[in-house]
Formats: sequence, C-alpha cells, structure tokens
Amino acid sequence: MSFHIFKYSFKSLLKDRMSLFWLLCFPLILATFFNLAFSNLMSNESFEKVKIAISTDHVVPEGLEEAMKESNLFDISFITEAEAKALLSEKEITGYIKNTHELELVIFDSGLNQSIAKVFLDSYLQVSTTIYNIIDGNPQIIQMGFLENLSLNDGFTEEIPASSSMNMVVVYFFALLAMTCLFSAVAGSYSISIIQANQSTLAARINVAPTPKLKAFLSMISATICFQFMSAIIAITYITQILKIDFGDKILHIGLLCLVGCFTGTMFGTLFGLVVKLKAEIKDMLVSNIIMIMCFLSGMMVLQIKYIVQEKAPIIAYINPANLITDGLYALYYYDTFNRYFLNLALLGGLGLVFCTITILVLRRQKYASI
Amino acid sequence: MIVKIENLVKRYGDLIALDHLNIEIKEGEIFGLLGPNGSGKTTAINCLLSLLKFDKGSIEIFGKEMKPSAYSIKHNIGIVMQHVAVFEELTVYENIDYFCGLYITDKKKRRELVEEAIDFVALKDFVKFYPKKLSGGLLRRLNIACGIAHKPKLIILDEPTVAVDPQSRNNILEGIKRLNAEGATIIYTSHYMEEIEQLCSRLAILDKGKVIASGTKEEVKGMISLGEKIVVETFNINEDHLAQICEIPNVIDVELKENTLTIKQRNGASNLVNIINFIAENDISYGKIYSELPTLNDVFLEITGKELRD
Repeated sequence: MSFHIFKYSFKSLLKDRMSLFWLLCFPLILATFFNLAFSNLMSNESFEKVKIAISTDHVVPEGLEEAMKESNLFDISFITEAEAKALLSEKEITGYIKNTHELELVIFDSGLNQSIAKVFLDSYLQVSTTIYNIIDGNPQIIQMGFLENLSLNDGFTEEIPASSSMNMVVVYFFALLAMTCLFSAVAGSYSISIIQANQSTLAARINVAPTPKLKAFLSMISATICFQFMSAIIAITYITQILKIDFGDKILHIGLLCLVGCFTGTMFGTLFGLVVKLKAEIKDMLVSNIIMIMCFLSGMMVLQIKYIVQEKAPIIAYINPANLITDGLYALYYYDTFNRYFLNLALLGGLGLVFCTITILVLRRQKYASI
Repeated sequence: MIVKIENLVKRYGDLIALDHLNIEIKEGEIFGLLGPNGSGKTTAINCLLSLLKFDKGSIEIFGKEMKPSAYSIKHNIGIVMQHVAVFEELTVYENIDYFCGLYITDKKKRRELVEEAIDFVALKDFVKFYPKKLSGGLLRRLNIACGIAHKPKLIILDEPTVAVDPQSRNNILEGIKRLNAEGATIIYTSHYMEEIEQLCSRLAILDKGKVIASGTKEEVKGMISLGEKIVVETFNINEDHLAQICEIPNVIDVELKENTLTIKQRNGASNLVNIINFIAENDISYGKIYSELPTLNDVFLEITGKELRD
C-alpha cells in the first residue's frame, strides 16, 4: 500500500463537498428527521398507569389493593364515592371501584383504560371466586402453599428483553447506520474509475505512473473505508450523544460491525464500478439507489419490510449487506449472546471478501482495447 | 534510440487506427507528431504508453520492451495529456505533489522537485488555488507541471496547447524548449503545424494511421515539388498577364484571389527577381511583394490532397 496515495485520497474525500454531504452530512440530517418523526412514537411507548379510585365508603375485599399494585397497571387513590364521582365527571380518573353487594366498576366512557380496568376486575373476581370455592372444599390446601403459587398478573405483563429500555424505533436508526456504512460504495465506485485508464484522462495519467495498479487500488479503497468509518463513528456519536438514542453498551462490537460494513460497502462499489460500463455520473446514481433499496429491504423506511423479507425470502436477507448490519446491531441490542451478531458479521465480511476478490481478479486481467 | 516503434498496427473493429506505424526517436530531440484530428496521434501515444493494447508490432523505450508492468521504463516517462488531468479537490501544490509522489518516494527530494516544477510553469502565486479557480492557460500549465515534476528523461506532450490563449501558448512552447535544453527528449503531438515547425528538430506527419512523411523539416519539405511561393498584392492585373507569368521558367501554378496573386515555384528554384521585373515591365501597379517557403501544410496538401485542418 502507498501511504502517499492513501493520504491524498483521504484528503480528496475530505475536500469534496459532494462526498462530505452524502457520506457524512446526509446520514446526520436523516437521523435528525428520524428523531423528529419518531419522538412521539417513542414517548407513546411508555405506558401511563390507569387512574382508578377505590371507594372508602365500603370495605374493600382483602387482596384487591395488593393485586392491583402488583399488576403495575393502576394509579390507585382511596376516596369517598362522592369525591370519586366528582373526579370521574371531571375525567380526572378513569373510573372507581365500590364494594356495595359485590365489586363494581363505575365508568362514564369507553376506551383502552376503561377496558384494562374492566378486564382486570373481571379476572380478579373470577380468580378470587375460584379460590374461595377451592378453599371451601379443601381447606388444607392453604397449608400446602396454594396461595403463594397464585398470580393474577400473568396475562398483563410482558417479557422484558435483555436491554433495559426496549425500543423498536432503534431499528430505524440501525438501518440508517447501515446506510451510512454502505454509502462508501459511491466512493468505492469513484476509486475504481480512477484506476482504470479507459475511464478518464486522470485514470490514464495514474496508469502511466510506475505504481502497480493493485497497490494504487488498495491505497485508494483503504482511504475510502477509513473515511466512511469516520463518518459512521460521527453518526453513532451524534445519534447516541445528541439525539440520546440508546444503542446499548456494546459500542466496540457496534464499531467492528460498522468497520466491516464500510469495507463491504466499498468493495460492492468497486465491483459495481468495474463491471458496469456506464458513465461515472450514472454509475454513482445507480449505486446510491441500490444502497437505498438494500436499506429499504432492511427496514429503514418501513420496519415490517425487514420481517417480511426475513420470512418470505430469507436468502435476500442473508445477501443484503444492509440487512446484515441492521440485524447484527439488532442482535447486539436485544440479546445477551453474540451468536447472531457474529453470524451477521461473518456473512458481511464474507460478502466483502467475495466482492474484493472478484474486483482484484478482473482488474488484474484488464487490458484496454480503447480509451 | 530512446523510442523505437516498429510495424505498429491498431484496429478498432474494421477501422485501422494505426497502419504499420514506424517511428524512431533519438535521445535529446524534440520529435513532432503532426496530423489532422483522427490521424492516429493520440492512439500512437496511448499504445506507446501501454495504455492501449495493439494488434501487431513492437514498441521499445530506452532499449527495452514497453509493457504495462515495465515500471523501470515508466519511471523515466512524463506525460502531459491532451485534456487536463488533475484532481479538482486538491490545490495546485497538492496536485503536483501527488503526481510527483507516484514517481519519487523521498519526501525531501520530492519537495524540491515540486518547487522547481512550480517555478518552471510560473505558478508560484497560485499554489493554494484549486483547479476550478484557474484560467484555461494556468490550468494547462498545472497539467504540464504534473507531468514533468519528477524530471523524466522522456516527456510526451499530447496537444498541450489546445484551447490556450497565445500568451500561454508561447509560455508553454518556451518551457518545452527549456526542458529539452535540460536534457529531456520530447515527443510533441499537435495539429498546429506552426508549433511543430517552431519546436521540432524532426517530425513525422500522420494520416489515417500511417506516416506519410518524416525527417527534419527541411527533409520533409524537400519531398514535395513545391518550392517558394511569391505573393503579390496587385490591382490591375489581367488574364494575359497571368498567362505570361505561367510561361516564366519554374513557375508551376498561378492563382489570383481578389487582389492577391500567388505564384508557386518548383522546388529549389527562385523567381523573385524575374517576377519583379515582369511587374515593372508590364506597368502593373502593386502593393506588397513577399516570398514564402512551403509550409508543412503544403506538404500535407500535396501528399494527401487535403488541408491539415480539414
């Protein structure tokens, strides 16, 4: 590798406004838009407890308050029925529970919160009646720890993932990060165009120099990968530190995946630039569109697409670098084990190596019939 | 011989771009490749540099076979392309340093060479400029600096003055003479015959991929029958006079366009005194009278029947 070519290739990328915009600024702008668009969605994900009052005018059955607290669904207040009626009419509470002859839920409206309260109370009544019936017929069961094994909350709770702050929106940001890494394909396509003498006068001049083509190629793509990796690091920093999106604590693993992603993206661009015989501008446009399609299939625009592709056409999911990056980051975020992460990393690196090998083989055999 | 091209054949499908081209270039000369657009000059250069594969023939530079991996040969070649080939994102200094660095690895030496190249093309005031901020002439000078900064023994300039203003053109031509004086062998392609005449010690004229004439300027001009041309600005000449002029020994053609009479002589003959005497004897009023030697365009015209710029 030539450090001289590497240095100037990196400098060129830094000074090229188009590269700076598409490879560095565009992902940041998109991340900002994502954050604005999804901020409501993210806030909606935090569940607000249902405000329920329990009338103190009557005796509350033993165990009800405890069951309600354990369910983690309710914000309970103990007030008189008159006060409860007043609060209900002012919509300060969803409803109130009174125990005249039997437990009753008083509500004025219908809705999700009212349904939650109703379903809980029905379930409580059903379970408590069943328990009383069982105990009536078989009192010694209490000594066998029957009551300790009961739980009212099974139907209301969710499984908690490895990450403490589960957030589906983060997948959009993973796809965005995949796009940032894979945009190096545009720079890769440009690099290959200035290696081939038949592509431009600049390329012809470089070919006349006593620098082996492979050496120049490796130096240029190294600069591209470094530049793009730098963009990815900036994007990660921006998303996690400024936009406060939680990417988890496995930052080194995220970095490694992004580095391999930049390599694969660059090599995809070089291969594309090498085999497609079109004008440079058209190639740039095509390669960036292909990257966007890859990102779309990995769920960047519509999250469900990722799962549809994975279910209906898993082979596409396995050969789509954007999906491999997204899925690798997803695996890091949601699972404690690294199996799925390393599978994605290996597939991504493998794809990059295949692209690289084909590029080098084609490049070495290339002789120009016309310039 | 610095360059030896033997029986070079290059085809683009049915079109023969180079047809058994033979050229030999000696050390220290400025060799001109002259020909109209499409005559095969650039194709010949591209084959010479191993940028293009060719169908037949052989190319030797510095006594060795030229091929894409002949890095020791490439190390001593400098190329100035027809179209400006620089990085838009790099400054003047950085561009020259980049291309020089492809040949010279020693940083200190490279810095000296880059400075020399900048002085040579007089771009000292523009070192921090980006190419898009340079005028056409300055851009051409940068293009030259990028090609010659590493002090090559063989410099190939492919139409370096295309679309350049007269002042910049003179600067470029003077620079080429200086490079040659410093010991570089130059190959200069152009379709401007004046430049070739002014610069080159030997030349080859190309047409349809073939060398139709080669040698020194005098040798090439000596290949045709045309000698000097006498041009007379005249106002009252008639058909009889023209017929009588045609009878003068060694006159091969007479042409009258508006008030300008052109009398062409056979090669090696001089008729200026005879013509002046004829004008005086026949009381023909006249303005300027001057004599012209045949140009390379005349050579091309006589051999191919068409003008160089056709």
